[in-house]
Amino acid sequence: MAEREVVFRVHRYRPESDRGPTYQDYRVPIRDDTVVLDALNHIKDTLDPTLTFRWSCRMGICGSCGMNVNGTPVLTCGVFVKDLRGGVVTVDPMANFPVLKDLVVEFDDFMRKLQGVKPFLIRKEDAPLSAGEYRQTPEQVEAYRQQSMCINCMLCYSACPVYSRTDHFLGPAASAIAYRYIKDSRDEGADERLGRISTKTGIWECTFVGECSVVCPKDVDPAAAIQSLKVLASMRHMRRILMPKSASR
Amino acid sequence: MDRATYDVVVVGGGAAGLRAAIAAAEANPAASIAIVSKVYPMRSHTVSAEGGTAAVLRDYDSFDLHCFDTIKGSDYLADQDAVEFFVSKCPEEIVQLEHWGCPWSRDPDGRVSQRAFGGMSVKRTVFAADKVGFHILHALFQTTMKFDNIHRLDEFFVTDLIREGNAAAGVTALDMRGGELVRITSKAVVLATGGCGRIYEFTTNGFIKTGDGMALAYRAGVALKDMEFVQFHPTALPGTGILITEAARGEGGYLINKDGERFLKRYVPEKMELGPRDILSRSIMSEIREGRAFDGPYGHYIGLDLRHLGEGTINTKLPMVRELAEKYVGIDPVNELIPVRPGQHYIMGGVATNARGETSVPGLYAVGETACVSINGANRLGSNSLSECLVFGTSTGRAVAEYVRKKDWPSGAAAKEAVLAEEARIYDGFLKRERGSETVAGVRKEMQQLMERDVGIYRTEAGLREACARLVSLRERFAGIGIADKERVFNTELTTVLELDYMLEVATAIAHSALGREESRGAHSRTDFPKRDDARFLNHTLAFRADGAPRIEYLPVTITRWQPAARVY
Amino acid sequence: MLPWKRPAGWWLRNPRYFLFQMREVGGVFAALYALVLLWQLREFSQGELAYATFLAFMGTPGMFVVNAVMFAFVLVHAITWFALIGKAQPVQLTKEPIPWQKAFAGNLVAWVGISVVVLYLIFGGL
Repeated sequence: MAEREVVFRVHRYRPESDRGPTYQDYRVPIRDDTVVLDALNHIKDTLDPTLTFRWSCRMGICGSCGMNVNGTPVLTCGVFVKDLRGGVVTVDPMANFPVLKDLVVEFDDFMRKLQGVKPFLIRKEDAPLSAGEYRQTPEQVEAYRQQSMCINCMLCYSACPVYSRTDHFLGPAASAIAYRYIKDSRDEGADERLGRISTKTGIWECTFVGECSVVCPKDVDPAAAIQSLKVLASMRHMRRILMPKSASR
Repeated sequence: MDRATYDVVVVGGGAAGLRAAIAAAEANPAASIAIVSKVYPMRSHTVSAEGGTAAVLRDYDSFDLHCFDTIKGSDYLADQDAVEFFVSKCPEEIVQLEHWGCPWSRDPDGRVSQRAFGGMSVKRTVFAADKVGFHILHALFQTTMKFDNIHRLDEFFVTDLIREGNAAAGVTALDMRGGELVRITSKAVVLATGGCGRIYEFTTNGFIKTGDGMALAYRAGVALKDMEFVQFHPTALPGTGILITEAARGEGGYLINKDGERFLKRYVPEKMELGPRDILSRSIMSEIREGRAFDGPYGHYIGLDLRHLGEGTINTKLPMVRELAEKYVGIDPVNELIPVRPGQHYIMGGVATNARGETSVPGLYAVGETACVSINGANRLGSNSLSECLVFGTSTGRAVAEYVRKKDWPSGAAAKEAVLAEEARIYDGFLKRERGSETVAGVRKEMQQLMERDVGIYRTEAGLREACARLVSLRERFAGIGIADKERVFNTELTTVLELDYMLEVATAIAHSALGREESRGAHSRTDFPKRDDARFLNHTLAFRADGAPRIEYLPVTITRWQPAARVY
Repeated sequence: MLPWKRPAGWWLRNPRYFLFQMREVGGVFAALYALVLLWQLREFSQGELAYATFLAFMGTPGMFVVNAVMFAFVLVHAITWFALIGKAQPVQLTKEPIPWQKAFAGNLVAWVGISVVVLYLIFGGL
């Protein structure tokens, strides 16, 4: 396979010595099957061991290696360098999060928001294990399958202009996961969850830019999930007005 | 600095660690449980498991049959009492996961579906398309958020165990974001750090699989059991080592050589593609050696043929296989062969424990791939490992919950000493090293190539002796590795050096255990001793850390109802 | 820890962000146009002379340009929302939901059809 050299312009930030971010250029040999993550590992292993980034599975499922490449949030293990346009490849940390070091961001904010949507089955009464599984047809699985694919890679938050302006916004992934549980036929927590997220800082903050769904590597489509949540929340609201007694269900 | 005190510290946030944490939190709601992981739990490598998890759920199946398949698959090295316990507990774990929201694939009547898997006599493997590990991990992780008594310390890299008297009393860890060394004191420690695949050059394992928990226990004087048994998965993508699930064959895929022939008919005519992994990997190596494999930029490979399954089956049962093939090799399995070759995948051995996860150190537990109970013996059957994480995660979590009920709090004196010692070792030792002649990447690469060549699928005495000797010299070269990054915050150069330290420890145990076992059994294939030797080696290997070479001892296998017999498929 | 700062002109760097901003601004122009319509109705109710004056004012080159700009933004607003409807609420009549492109096409066809009918009602009798 033919090799050629590509310049990588990489965001550097050393919290203990730098006052602000800088860029550093590296020349990396590239083959047709080199992904951006391979190039970063080449830099770390042979050119500059101080370059700091997260990665693990390099098969697009662990969600560790999200970065902004040429301005677009991607999983770097899944982007071939040959497919990138322009001479220089710019690698930035994901946007909208505090940067810890170089390409590493901190997203405890998401972890709190995830916990806030109660991401687990809520049942009025848990059946004993001896009763066996809750029955669920393939069609009922299909109802929430797409949103159950979220790997929490944070690309959608990096792409969301609303989150960049208002970091109290619940955001795409947490909303999609709330939707995933609400659409699960085994779950009985829809009312509680909708109550929690149908707020100004919740789903109603979304202005439907749609960019979250464009960058999602797992086709979770959080944008659609949020709009569907708006419909469900509105119906819940109307029910509570029209039928105050039965609405508590 | 003291990062608070917990009843239980669970090191590792994969399936085994999370399951143990939940079981402990349920069994003892008064106990505080900390999940300490070097990554966010949802990054744990459980996420990459694809094919499924085994359990007896249907009338056509039985506990005895699952036991027999597992024991035969293990080449009779599994402890049969442990297997019987394991098999009897699998079904309730599947139901428990289902009650926690895991999106298992379903039959039209709403029951959990099951698929065929290698070495299993009947359809026994429960699945959620081909992202089983991902769904199990996220279901468990999200379920931990229900519990007020489960705390998380994300991105804390554990550097050592704290002992008080003989008992475990917590861990020291690098708080990667805070950039400091901390002590986390506890009444008990559960090691659930997964495997050590990164010791090998060509592996399906993620970058984080560096045997941390095994090395921690080994240094604490606990034996590593059966470490010579390293599983090579028959179907990994050349170059990257990305796993192509066994479910591809479970759903009917063929393995094809360059002559277009289903060559397994010469090796495992009864089972064909559903033979056990050790035999399939060796069969592929034979095809390669005899010149019947394809040739590619990353060496020889054979073809995985899914074309006859049709687009519908591939999309519903194997969507991730298609996604991986299209995205990472630019091949559509609907129309083309997927190139595959064997790659390191799993280690049957691990920290010696019983079925309650207990080690020889009071208060120290191990579970999952880190541990060796042993139910996997000399070769693990596909889809038994996720079940193992769940079953023994539960039993270990309950055992540790019980232990901390009776155990007094550690005084903390040992912890203070330990943190000072670790600060001296890591900050004054490693971090102050100037850039020397050696790099972490260079030494690591040599270890990986060495293990691949001499402690790989086929082994000989000469090769193993060479490996043992070169691991000693690599240990010396390790001392010459310098560290360029002097910052304490998120210093991944420092942590990769500490990981290499762990890997060299574990690699030495593997090589010496392999040298001692002069027979071929399961995944351990000695060309100089091609036969199984029950008279000498119906025993577990125990490797104890010692000055110089590890001390090797043997422990008889527990046989209950299944007498060792020839292993023919 | 380095806090995130959104760069100035962020919405110019990505054509999809730009289109989003145009769609949102389009909402303002749609509201303006509604005001113009109300104004027109008011003038109409004031008698023939007032309405003729209004029409003459609307016919000036300046107002023509203003109307053209408003029309362009309203078009962008309408068309981008037509494209989004199928994504926001996928219509599910059969087993698979209808792809958004089809919903988009359906909306466009309905919109053009209704516009033709309206145009016929207004001008067709002449």
